Amino acid sequence: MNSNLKTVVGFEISRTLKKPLFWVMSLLGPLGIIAIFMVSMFSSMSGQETIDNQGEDAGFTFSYVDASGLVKPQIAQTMGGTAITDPEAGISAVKDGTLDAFFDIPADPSVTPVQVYGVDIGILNSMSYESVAKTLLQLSVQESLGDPKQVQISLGQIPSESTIYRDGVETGGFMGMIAPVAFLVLFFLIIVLLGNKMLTSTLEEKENRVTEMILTTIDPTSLLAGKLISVFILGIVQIAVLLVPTVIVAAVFPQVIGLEGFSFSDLVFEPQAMVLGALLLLAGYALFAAASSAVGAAMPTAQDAGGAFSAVMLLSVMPFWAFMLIVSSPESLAVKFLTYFPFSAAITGMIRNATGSLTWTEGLIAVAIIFAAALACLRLSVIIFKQGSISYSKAVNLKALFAKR
Amino acid sequence: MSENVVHVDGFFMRFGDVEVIKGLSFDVYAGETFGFLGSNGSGKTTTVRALLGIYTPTAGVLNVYGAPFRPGVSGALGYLPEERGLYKKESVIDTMSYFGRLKGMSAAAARKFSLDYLERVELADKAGVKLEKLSGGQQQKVQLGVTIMNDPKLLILDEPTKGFDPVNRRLLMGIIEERKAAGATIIMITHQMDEVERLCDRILLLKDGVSRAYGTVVEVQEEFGGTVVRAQVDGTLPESSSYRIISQTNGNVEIDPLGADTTDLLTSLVSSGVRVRSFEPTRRSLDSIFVEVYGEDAIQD
Repeated sequence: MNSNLKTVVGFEISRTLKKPLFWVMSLLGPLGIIAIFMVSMFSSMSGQETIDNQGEDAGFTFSYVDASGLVKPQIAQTMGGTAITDPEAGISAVKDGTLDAFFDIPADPSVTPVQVYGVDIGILNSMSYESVAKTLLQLSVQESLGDPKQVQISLGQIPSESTIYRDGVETGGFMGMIAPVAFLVLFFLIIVLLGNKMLTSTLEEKENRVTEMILTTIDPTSLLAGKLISVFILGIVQIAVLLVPTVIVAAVFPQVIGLEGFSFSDLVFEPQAMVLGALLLLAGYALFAAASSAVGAAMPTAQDAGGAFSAVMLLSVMPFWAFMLIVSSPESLAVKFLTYFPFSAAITGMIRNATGSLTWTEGLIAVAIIFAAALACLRLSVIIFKQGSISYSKAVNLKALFAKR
Repeated sequence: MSENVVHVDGFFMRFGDVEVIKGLSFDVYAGETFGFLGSNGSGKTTTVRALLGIYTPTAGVLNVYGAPFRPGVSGALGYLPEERGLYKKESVIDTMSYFGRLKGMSAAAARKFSLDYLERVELADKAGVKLEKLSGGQQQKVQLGVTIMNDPKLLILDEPTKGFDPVNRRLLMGIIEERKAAGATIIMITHQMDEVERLCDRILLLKDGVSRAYGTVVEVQEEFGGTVVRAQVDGTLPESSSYRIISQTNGNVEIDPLGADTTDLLTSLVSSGVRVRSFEPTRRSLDSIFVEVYGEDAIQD
């Protein structure tokens, strides 16, 4: 890295890190995660409490009519329930408030819904009536089965392990997909979180009338490259701030975010997928950033640049609309096109890389195409920046710009 | 004069169908102060932007120190553009240090220069303040400081006094004289003819993209009439075939004797009944040459 490039990167990074707004925006995500975590913890604890209670006492009084004959009276009694024979009497008792809940269990509960009647104790708490009715049936049936193995299998709790081979070599399977998918998530977060910063990185000189001073002090390619590198580094900082709490939560409390049984040590890192994922991420970022900065250089304000920037954004995320096609028919002509069209190549490549349908050759060709397009966009960006940024309040006339050249 | 710092030869510049510069050639020599003059739209800023690589010339050679200008390669340059601005959201010291670093100074040297300069222009207490919080005059001082960072050997000042208050104008003139004394080459693009006459060694008058006069101040004055007479008369001086009235306002007249001896002109005026209160043969002012070349409207600009 030449010294001016380092100076630009240092200046851009340090001034952004000094801004309170950067940290406010960066910390919003983690704070949101912590808030969700706290709510989930609370709900989980409440839920556990309810389940514990369900095994012993539902915490409210109920009566039931059992046309199915499945309910075990001793279980119902333990949970606080009383069998009756007249559904109308049960409903009336609930209506006049002498009974908390009444369950009308049909002859075949697997087909006909169980009718639950209860006294209003708030929307969320009232939902526990249904939960207790289902638990009552579930515990009664489990007792009928007797054998714990049969109970576990009937509940679908069947442990299994897969070994998948590609070209005779064992693959990582689902756990091998997670790390390459992380590149896709990173790329998506970068363009969503930093798209606007890339766009405005070239507008600042124009809006501050500092273009001529800067262009006669530093080579414009170094300036733009420095800005794009610094935006990338800042993006990594921002994403790290966002992801670190998530990873900690996932590692320490996996059940809270629905990852029960997950362990980071189970992850499989396949060298080819990791290298291609990293290259596609870098190349995709370089192209997106260079194209965004070219749009920013051509327009006088961020508002004016909005339309063209949206086009760049749409082109980049276009493969998400073809996700199923990319996964199910990676050899189709349309997917081949998306793999090698510069703006769609990064995301298409990353999806195919994660699902194991991207070969080394295909991946490296796609990376080369994206980097070539990124360099072309950077060159274009420099040309537009040099001439467009001194138009100050006018958009660049590209036709006139290139006609002159 | 020694080596040329700037060499422009056969420079043409076209924007779409409009030819802005038409075959311009000139040199600026090391250590001289060069006045680049012209009315608005005459092509001065376009020439400087092409010289500094911001515009790509349609044709011609534009060299700085023997080659097309490249930032950081062509030698230390101090450029004060007509369109001025700095990073308004950043602090004064951070902005100055950044430019100092880009101009090749070490971080410590850039910071030291910045603090010394801010002390000199009485802005030391504003070092940590964002530029947008400074007054217009204070921002101008910072901009000047950035322009002269890292001891530039070539200073290009585009309309240097434009928008400057009298205090900053004096500061600027002091800096120009300091740099001149230190041997720097200075190109001034200006409308201020008094400053040009006082500071410039050579000048070029540009009109509609074409050089109308080029040489030392004296050579240009000679070219546009050499010796003129500044006189004060009662009433209005009549037109005559023996002299040409360059300007006449409230009894103050500037007269071109059309090559005749000034004593003969005085005799002629007195004999024609004009009451002459003062009569001073002198070189023609650049101001009047400027008016002659560009017309009164240019001065209004």
